[in-house]
Amino acid sequence: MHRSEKRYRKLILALALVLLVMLPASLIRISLAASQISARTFTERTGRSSVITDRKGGVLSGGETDFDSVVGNLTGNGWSADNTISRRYAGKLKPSGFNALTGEAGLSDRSWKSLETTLLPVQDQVTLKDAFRGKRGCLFSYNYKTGEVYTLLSLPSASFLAAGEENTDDGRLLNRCLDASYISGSTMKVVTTICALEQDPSLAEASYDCGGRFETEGGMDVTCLGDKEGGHGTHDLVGALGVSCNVYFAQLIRTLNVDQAAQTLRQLGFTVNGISGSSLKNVGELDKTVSSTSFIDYKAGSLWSLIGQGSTQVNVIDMAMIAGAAAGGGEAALPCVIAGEAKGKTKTLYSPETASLLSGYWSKATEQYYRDGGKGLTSLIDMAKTGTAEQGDGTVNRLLMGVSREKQTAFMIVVENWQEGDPMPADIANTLMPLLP
Amino acid sequence: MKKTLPRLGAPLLTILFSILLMTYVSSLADPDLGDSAFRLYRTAMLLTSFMALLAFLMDMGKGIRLQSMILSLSVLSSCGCTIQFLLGNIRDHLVYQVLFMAAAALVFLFLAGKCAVSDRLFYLAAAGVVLLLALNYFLGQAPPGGFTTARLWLFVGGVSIQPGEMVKILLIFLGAASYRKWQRCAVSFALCLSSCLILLKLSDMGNAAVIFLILVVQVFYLLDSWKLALLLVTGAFTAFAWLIRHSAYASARLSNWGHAMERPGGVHQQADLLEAILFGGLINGVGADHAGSLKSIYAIDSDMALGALLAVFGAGILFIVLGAYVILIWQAAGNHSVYPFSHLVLVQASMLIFAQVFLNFGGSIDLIPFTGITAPLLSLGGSSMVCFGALTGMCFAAECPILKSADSLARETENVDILSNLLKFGSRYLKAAAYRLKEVICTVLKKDTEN
Repeated sequence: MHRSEKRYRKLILALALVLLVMLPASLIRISLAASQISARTFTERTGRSSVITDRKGGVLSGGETDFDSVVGNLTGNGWSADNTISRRYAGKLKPSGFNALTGEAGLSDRSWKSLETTLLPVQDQVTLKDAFRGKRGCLFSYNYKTGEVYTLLSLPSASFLAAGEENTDDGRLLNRCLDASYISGSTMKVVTTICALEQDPSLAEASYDCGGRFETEGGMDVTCLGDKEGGHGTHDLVGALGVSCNVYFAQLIRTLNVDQAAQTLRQLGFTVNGISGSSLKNVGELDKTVSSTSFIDYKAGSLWSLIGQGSTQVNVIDMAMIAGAAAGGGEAALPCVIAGEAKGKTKTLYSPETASLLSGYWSKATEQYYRDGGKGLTSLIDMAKTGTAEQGDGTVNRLLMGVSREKQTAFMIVVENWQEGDPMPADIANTLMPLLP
Repeated sequence: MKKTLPRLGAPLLTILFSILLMTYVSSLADPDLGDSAFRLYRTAMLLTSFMALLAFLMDMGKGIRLQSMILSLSVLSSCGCTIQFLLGNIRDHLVYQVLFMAAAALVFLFLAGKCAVSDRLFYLAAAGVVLLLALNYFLGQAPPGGFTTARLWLFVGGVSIQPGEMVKILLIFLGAASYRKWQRCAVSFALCLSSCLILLKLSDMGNAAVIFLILVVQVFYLLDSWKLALLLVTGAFTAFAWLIRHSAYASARLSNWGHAMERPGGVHQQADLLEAILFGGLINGVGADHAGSLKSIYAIDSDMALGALLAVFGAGILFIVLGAYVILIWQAAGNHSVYPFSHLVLVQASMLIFAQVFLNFGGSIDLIPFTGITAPLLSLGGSSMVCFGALTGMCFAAECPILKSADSLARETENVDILSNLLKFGSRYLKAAAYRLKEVICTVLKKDTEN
């Protein structure tokens, strides 16, 4: 007993010390909690708010009117929305003088910091929102040289307070540019072209014949939605990009080396066959989803993936970056939403040679097929590719990715569940161009 | 009973005082807590001075140990009364609490001073553990409200009881009565281990952890083997790691650890408490007048009582409260009792207090995984109050400096009934107090005349 007793006294001394050590440990934990408090909590507890502004200093959030729903729930207006500026940039938005020792008393005389975003002014965003004419969808645009994001529009959207009484099942509290991925439709053909050019530029010089149908080993034949009976006839890459010929691209894909193509896709930011590459997972502090596809062989499913149906799911930010790199010599700036956060960081997506060849073919295709007679695209847009993505439920999404050299802007637009009479993405792109700085 | 009674005086008086003071505090409480700060401080001062007076009265064996323990207890109970009063809960629970305190006094009456435990009493207590665990296992329910799925409560006629709390005290009693008795040792270890496992099965991770620590102390002491105790701790860590991998409940609890501010799975209480602490400021606290705003935090008065105290009064109160606990633990474990039973009660009690304070406070501010265990004397709670009353009783009995004189006194008064015994010892305390006062006054007067 005596021996144990001595030892136990030591043990108890250690326990008592543990309790004493809890004092500084708890203070450290509490200070850590101070850095984790969101700006929203400050607003709720003090009745005062931090301010988030657009690129011209107009108030988006924290003023008398809240424009959270206009800019795609981006500023953050509720607990449920986590991927928002007010949450992720809480450290920058908190009042400068808050310290854990003096607490709320220390807030009273301190100024609140405001955060300037790179987003277009509210009235411009409203114009763009109206251009969707009530359709769901999203619009991402950004400067591929500086990385400044102009729009991260997401529709429908709603402020958290209003959403309390509305149906939120349709994802109106999400930002579709950041949190969603779409079936790519024919916009994927630009990516396929890049794969070919990266492997061997001469692959893109071939011409193929389109008879409206291309038979594959897997059974699921590749068909063309061409407007002509019996297919598009014989054409080169420019023509194939212009009319979006599935049969042409099916034959082009068959000339690709599967492994090299998968490598290129990963370099472009895709997760291929479950293996991720150099994917971009964040826009500043905000999370974004990653594009994915599968390309295993030349059978029907894989072929369709690179044509733009099948298992290909793209994020609009990834696609806009791929488009932007065509005008940027294979490099695209990393997008960012907060002013001053862009420090000219770029990502190399493909080689400068590929970029120059691609922009040559793509500009020609756009010039020949997308102007007045075709899609009616404004001359400010140098390169563009439309897409039509069939959903599982039979509805159709219309997509458009493009680049404007003059505005140094790359963009991608999605109009969901498109029906006759609804706005075309090209109309929305035409609305966007004059609004850009 | 005759032998026990003399030793009951001091602790019994403590409990009686507590009941009286809680009644007094509740009489002050208004439904609207306006202007509460003034009354709060008056109450707290009153409580502390009463308890200090008690300590003074009991300073007969010249035991600094007992005195400091009583002072610690008085500081803690006044803090407990204060925070419960501020959270507006004493009034609602007064009858309930007083009944449980009285029950604690009875339990204590039964347990205190039992230096040699008969076989019958030992196995009765062991049967009690089995019965409580069986009741908990088969009839235990989660509390209404869906905040937790842990089936810890028995609802009997509108009163909720946590059998796990009582099991802890009984296990301490069993362990203490097993010194050099191998059959009892085996029973005690087996019961500790099985209650630990059953409580884990019922998702009561906090009490399971406390009981496990009690088991470690028992192994350490009764088998006199620190190697075995170390092996046990290592084994427990391995088992815990296994549990995290295989139990959805445990892994969910653990994955929340360190992420309180993100409100994982809609759990708000820790984040709310941390925010309250921060917005009040670590120096100021939210203040007594704003304490009512903490009421909306779930289980603030029980599982987060120490955190609540920190939120209301700032970090200064932590020094006092943790200091009081440290004194309590240190003094309880430092006892050199001639009776192994008393000594073992004290060392197990000190481990229990340590574990509960550590789990309660660390959990409430997300320093360690949150288990929802009560802080002794601070938290509101029926079962835990009874059990802590019983534990304090056992500790006092072990520490009581009037042990010897009481023993001899009991022999002298063998034929006196309980009531006259109580009266006799009541008057004995008064006489002693008067004598002590007289002594002090004389000393002061003497000094004066010398000067």
